[in-house]
Amino acid sequence: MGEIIVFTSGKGGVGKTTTIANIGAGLSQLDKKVVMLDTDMGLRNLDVVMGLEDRINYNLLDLLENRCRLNQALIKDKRFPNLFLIPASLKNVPLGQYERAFAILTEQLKSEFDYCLIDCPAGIDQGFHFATSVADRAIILITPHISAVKDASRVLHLLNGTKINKVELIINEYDEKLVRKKYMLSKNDIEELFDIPVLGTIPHDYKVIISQNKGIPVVTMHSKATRRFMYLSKQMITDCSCAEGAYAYDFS
Amino acid sequence: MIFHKSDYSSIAKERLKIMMESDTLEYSSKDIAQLKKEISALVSRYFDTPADLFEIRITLKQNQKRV
Ligand SMILES: Nc1ncnc2c1ncn2[C@@H]1O[C@H](COP(=O)(O)OP(=O)(O)O)[C@@H](O)[C@H]1O
Ligand SMILES: [Mg+2]
Repeated sequence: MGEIIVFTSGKGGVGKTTTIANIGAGLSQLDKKVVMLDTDMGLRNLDVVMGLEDRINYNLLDLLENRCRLNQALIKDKRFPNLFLIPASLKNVPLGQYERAFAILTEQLKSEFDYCLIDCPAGIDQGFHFATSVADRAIILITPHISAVKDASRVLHLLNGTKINKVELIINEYDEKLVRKKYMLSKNDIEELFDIPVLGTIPHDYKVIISQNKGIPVVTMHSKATRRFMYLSKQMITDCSCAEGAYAYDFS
Repeated sequence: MIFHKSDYSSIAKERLKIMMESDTLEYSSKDIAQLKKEISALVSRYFDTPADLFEIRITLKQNQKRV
């Protein structure tokens, strides 16, 4: 049985899509069968970051409205061993009405994949509730900037009341130099504020931008970010196999 | 609280602490109204004073917010 993990943040532009693309690729290189699901309806870009935009025939909305079979909507990324993508629709529709269909779809994905990674839209309205409603685990993406941290704390609060039983943080755009000077919040500061574990940090890396311009995940290149994404991919697996609840965030 | 002149991360951390605390205190106005009603019933009983002769104010220490 696979695990459904939603990547969320509250604030937009903090690196959800970038992180899913690279952890997805990373996990598949670690022999896991992975499907990435873009729920950012109307503003899809996981396909663009992955360079798979030309291969789209059907999308998540088609699946939810029964216009196609699962196999028709799954795009296989041939550059990786076992990596698939289901893109979002171009149409922006209210997602509340599809929550049941989404639950059925993700149950099916869970039986066929080791990991189902959900790219959540920014904000905390319908799209957020839709994307988080089916997840077993959440990863909150933040940058060490006060507004991103503030928004993430709202998100953590809202995850209370879903069936998610495990929440972790990933810090993107982390600058060790600025942290040492005490210009920027540190990993420890953030861990203390949230009282949930930080899986790891990702530095700003121009190769991320180059790789996205080319439509390939940065983990195929040599870079600082690559090492971090591969480390994070491993963390995700180890973390998952540890004793039940050992790292779980206790909502009570 | 006093920080070293250029310790900007601690400033951010303290501000966030306060923001995150007040966020979790999401009291509903209905609950507050009910609470005030119950307290004023108690006060009238103990002081033998009708409720319109005193006022109940609740101030949360954490953020000095009056509810
Ligand atoms: N570690 C990084 N280094 C350099 N650029 C990054 C990094 N993380 C994200 N970006 C860039 O920032 C922008 C926003 O990232 P994205 O993953 O699309 O955020 P989100 O999905 O949360 O809105 C993108 O253009 C991406 O290329
Ligand atoms: Mg995105």
